[in-house]
Amino acid sequence: VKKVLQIALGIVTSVGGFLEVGSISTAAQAGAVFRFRLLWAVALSSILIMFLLEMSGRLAAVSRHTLAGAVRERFGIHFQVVPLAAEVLVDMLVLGAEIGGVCIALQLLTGVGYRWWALPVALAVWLLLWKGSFGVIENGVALLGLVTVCFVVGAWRVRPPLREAAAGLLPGLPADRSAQYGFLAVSIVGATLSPYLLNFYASGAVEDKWNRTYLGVNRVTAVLGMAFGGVISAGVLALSAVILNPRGVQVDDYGR
Amino acid sequence: MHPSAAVRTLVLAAGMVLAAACASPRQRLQESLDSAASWAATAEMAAAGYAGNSAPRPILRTLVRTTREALAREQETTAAAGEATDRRVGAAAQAIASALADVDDLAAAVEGRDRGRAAAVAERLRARADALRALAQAGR
Repeated sequence: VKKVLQIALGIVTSVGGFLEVGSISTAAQAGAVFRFRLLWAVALSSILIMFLLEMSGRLAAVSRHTLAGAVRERFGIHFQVVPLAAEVLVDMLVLGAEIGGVCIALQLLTGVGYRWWALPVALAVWLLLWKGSFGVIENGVALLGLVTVCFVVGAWRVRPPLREAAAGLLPGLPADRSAQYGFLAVSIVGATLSPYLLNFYASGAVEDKWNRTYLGVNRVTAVLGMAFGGVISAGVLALSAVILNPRGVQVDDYGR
Repeated sequence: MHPSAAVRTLVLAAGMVLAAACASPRQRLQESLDSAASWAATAEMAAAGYAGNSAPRPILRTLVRTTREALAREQETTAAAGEATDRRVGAAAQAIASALADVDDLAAAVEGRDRGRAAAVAERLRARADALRALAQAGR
């Protein structure tokens, strides 16, 4: 029972970690410009992250090391400093985008300009990291990510054309704007394969004292969690394709 | 790599970045038309949402302010392009000015809690967005 509960919680938290502001904005952009034609990129990146997450969880369960810890121990700090620096840079950009997203949401709610919210939001994040336990961050905050299920409900309600959506699962170059198409495809994959997610997941496995008996839990959590996240990402794309594309609304601005 | 070869590569790369960054006036006009059409459509969606009681006032207020700023920016870009660049400039400037007036009207409708007026503005904004999109299409 404990393991079943862990799987359920793992899936929920994986979804929270999977669908951050980068995934939402790239999927929305793709749907607004190319309708369902970039659905394959969402499917491909979901499969890739499934494998990566399963491997980082397996490494943590067998070696009791996080991904970063294992690299440092095996290759030394001089080797690790390069990928670590790159990851810190990427994580800073993701954090900046996340804080920006919260600020825009607060601006929409209150009418107070988003720039005024940057420092209070950053302070709240700092306090959460300082005072909150890993469990609070992993479960509490990630559970809030479940709000993104509204995208799937929304996509279901607007009844997307299923034949066109299914055709979008096969890659193909559009007649025009092929550079933008390629750029968005790379952006979708890049936004999904966030390095922080792998470290976050492996850290959770180490904190929860996973061992070899958890390899099955790890596999189910990684596959179902990422598949669930991929479905939500596809929901964002479908909503954007059905609602924004026919009206010619582009999603190229935070304010939109 | 020989130092002079490295310098040549750097200069070439910088030149390519510069060339990519400097769009021609015609390209800027095209981008401006795309953006203005998109903003007009966004405002139309928001107005229709408010008219249908599905979009709250704080969101409308924020969106009206952002849309107004964006359309004013595109108006400046279009004016800077000049009639000599493209025959569409005059029509584009007129359509953007009309969209800006409609957005002001939407702001008044929101402040006055007048959903009927917002519905009428939504209809007009749809026409503006269509006109701007047609102008953008003509340049492709």
